[in-house]
Amino acid sequence: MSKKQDEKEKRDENLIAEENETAVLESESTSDELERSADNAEEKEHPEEQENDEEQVEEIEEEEEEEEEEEEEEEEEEEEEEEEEDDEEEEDEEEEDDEDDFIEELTGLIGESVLIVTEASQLNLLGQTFRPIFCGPIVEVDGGHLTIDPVTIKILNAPFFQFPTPLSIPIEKIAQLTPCFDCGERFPLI
Amino acid sequence: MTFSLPNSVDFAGIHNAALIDHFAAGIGQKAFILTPSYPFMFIGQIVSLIDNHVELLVETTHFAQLENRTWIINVQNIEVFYIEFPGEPCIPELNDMV
Repeated sequence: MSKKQDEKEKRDENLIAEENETAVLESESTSDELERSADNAEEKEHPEEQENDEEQVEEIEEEEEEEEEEEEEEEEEEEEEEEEEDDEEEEDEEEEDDEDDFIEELTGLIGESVLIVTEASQLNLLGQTFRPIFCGPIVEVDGGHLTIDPVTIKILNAPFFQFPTPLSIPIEKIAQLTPCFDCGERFPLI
Repeated sequence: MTFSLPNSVDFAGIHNAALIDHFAAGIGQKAFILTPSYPFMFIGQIVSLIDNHVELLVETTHFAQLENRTWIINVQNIEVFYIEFPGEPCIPELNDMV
């Protein structure tokens, strides 16, 4: 009878893929007290099972233990399912991170002088046409725009014209930008 | 793990929505707007937002004939702008600009 239970135990433990070695040792040693105690001495890392063996615990208790083990298995399965769900959630979070990446990149550039070119081929300020090329330090980044202050506009006749107010640029209008740009740099405005 | 969904995140939509929110926060304030479309520049008070259009009571553009009237400007057409929130630098008068 006790051997049967031990075999059951062994099966259960094999199922949860833990302490296989211990289970084998236990089932082999049920008939031999001396051998078992020797095994127990070797397997000190499993004190609970040793106690059970030594005290020759009653069937009911062992059955309860088996039930507990079964419950543990179920819990483990549930945990695995939860882990899968977690993975999916992590993927979702990554996707959410993606949408912030450009904003985060820009936020990291706050305080740095950048050269930003927007999509339009040209703009017009009171009759002066100019390329939408803006230079200056980023002072603010929001979900939909960034602000440069002070901002230099590259007007053909006045390539270092500093606009009297800060200027905001919609994120979606940024065609290209380069960080760490010296606004005093001279380059052809074609 | 699964490669189920193609990247369905609409970045442009999120950015544009945030931009519209920013203009909505500026209702009642004076704004400076440049667009690539004629007449290129608007200065005036933000009256309201109609979907993704900003309603602007324009005091100043390039041409006097187009001033002192309401312009409804597509937010997506705004290339560069400045909203004069309280405590921020003032938008100068026309003649001070260039």
